[in-house]
Amino acid sequence: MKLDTSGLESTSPFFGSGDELCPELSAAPSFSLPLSTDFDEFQKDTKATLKHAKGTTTLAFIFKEGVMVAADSRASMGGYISSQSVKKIIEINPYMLGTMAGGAADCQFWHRNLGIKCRLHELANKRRISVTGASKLLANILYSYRGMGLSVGTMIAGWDETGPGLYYVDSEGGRLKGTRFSVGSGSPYAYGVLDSGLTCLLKKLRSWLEELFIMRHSEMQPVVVLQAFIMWDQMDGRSCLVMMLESFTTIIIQSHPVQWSKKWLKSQGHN
Amino acid sequence: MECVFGLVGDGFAILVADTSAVHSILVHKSNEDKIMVLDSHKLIAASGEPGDRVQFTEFIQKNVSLYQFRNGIPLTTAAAANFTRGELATALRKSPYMVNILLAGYDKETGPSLYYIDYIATLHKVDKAAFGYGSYFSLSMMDRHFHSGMSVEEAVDLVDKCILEIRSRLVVAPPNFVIKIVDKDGAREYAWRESVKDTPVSSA
Amino acid sequence: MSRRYDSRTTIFSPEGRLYQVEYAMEAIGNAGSAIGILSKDGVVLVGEKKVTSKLLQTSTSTEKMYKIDDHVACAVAGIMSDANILINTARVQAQRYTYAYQEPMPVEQLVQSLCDTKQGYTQFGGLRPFGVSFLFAGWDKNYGFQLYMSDPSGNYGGWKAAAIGANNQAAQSILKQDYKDDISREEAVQLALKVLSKTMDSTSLTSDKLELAEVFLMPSGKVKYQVCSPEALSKLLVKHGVTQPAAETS
Repeated sequence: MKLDTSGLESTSPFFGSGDELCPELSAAPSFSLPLSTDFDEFQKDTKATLKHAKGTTTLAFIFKEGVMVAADSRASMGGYISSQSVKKIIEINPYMLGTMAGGAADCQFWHRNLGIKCRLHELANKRRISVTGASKLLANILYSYRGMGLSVGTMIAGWDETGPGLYYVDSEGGRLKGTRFSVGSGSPYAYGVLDSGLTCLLKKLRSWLEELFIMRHSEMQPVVVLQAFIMWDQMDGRSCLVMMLESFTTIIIQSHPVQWSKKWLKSQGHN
Repeated sequence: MECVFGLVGDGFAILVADTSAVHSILVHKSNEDKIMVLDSHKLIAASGEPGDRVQFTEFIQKNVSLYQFRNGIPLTTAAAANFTRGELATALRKSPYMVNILLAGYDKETGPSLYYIDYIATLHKVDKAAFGYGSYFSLSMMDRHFHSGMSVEEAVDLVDKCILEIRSRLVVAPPNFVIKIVDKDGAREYAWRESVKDTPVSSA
Repeated sequence: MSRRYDSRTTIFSPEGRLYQVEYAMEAIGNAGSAIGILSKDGVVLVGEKKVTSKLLQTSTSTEKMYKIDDHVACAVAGIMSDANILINTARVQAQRYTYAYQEPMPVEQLVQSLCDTKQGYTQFGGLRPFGVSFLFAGWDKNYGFQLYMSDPSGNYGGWKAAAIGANNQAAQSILKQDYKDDISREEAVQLALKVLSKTMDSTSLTSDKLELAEVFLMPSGKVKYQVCSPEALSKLLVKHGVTQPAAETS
């Protein structure tokens, strides 16, 4: 069964003469309809079988060597998935990362804005801003816009003169200091893994990441690219370990200076 | 859910607050200190929306220390409480701060005092007070066991009774509490009552 | 005499002086004088009334003494119209403070806020400084009884005894000689009257040329501001033997 759209057809053919193109293209534009008499019921069934996996999981924690930040990479609007390779971890600068949950535009915009403010701080004071200061800067901005519809749930993670730092900041104006956070609709699952799996983390980093990946599956999400950054204890902020979890089976762990990471990501076929 | 309470004893005032940072069903953190030291002899415990709570208490704290810098003398607890109330009242008809406050302090002239200030800018000088879901339990506990001129030991005992009651009767009871005291020697942290430790940072 | 640097308040002369401010102080030097003395149980303010005419009917009994709040009063020397403005702002400040903190404003803060206003008029263009000096007498729980003196530049300081207005330097030097710590309020009144009797231009000291006000604590602990009635003042003048014309000292 096909929906006939010939009534919409213009008198001249769309694609030149029919001879030059394959027959389907020269035919009247149409698309196939499902073989069903009850279309509403069909739609309901489709929705039920597909079970759109949506939402976000971001997490971050402080451990012995530094701060770990991880996030899934899917962009969605309701049921529609617009991208499977979005960077939800934003490099505010080479020694500070922010995560994205909530409105992508709001997060991106205010993280960039924060990046500017942090750089200006650096220029004015000849020293890098602390994670405490940077997160407070962001929290104060978000607080001043509270109730105006911003949607931001972020973690600011980084390394400063005092060591590793981790803050949770949201658009309600909340700001929490901590050693372990997860934000997004998947955060309860992440907390489940995180709370039980953190103590033996370093020994089992590899298996932990696999476990984390299983967690992604448990949320009914197909293969996603999981980006994970480890910021090592290096005050120059140059090198950090970039880890890519490509699929359930492949784990690429590679030591990399952070300024190369984008290029490297590209060479790996992302962005 | 939130539990903040306090009482006045003989020569001291004590404040207790839960330490949970909650978002819907999620506990983000269970060691969030909700009692701020305002100045050397004042404590401010706040409950309410997390953003407002931090912003407002910091605002008050900064104003109290600005006063001290400008004038070389500290604000009395009563003055600080009235100032806080005033700020809440002016904000109330603009963009209200959703915070309830217990302000405890010690002054040379008047001794220890405790002030109850809610988000609609009610101010009361009280001997015992509570906010949040925990107030239903801690208030009745304090009504039963509080008497004027309690010693620190008696007061802490009562505080522990309140915490126990909250933990055993409140569905959404927070696991951890912080206790702070202010007396002639100043404001300080007294103890933590923790039933769930934040999993320590990995040392493996 | 310079004319290049004295037409505007905001401009320093090459010698680093602000002529307008100095002129304002000069104006006060001609005004009726006032003396304030701090004692252990209160503060005493005495002022010299410049009676211009017998026909003049003043609206209030005091023309130099003003109550600012329950615990603070001041004595004025200088241009009264200027003083009225400042007294009004001082009263407003005191009430604002009470509104914010529900307790009386500390005396020094009140003085400081008024002096900030005065200072502003020595710096911002197009304005004339206030031609007023004040003596503030007050009590607060932090520092007890206090006496402050302020001038048109916005300077102020705490004093044990101070004089403003005509002959203030002469008065000041007598006070310096005769003031003793731990003086009682009664002795302070006596000293103030004595100083005025020596420095006032008029030949005899009478109650219609004087004003006396005191700030002290009542037995209840409440601060009391009390203005001495002309009758009581006459009796005091007789008692302390200062009714006779005194020898001119300056």
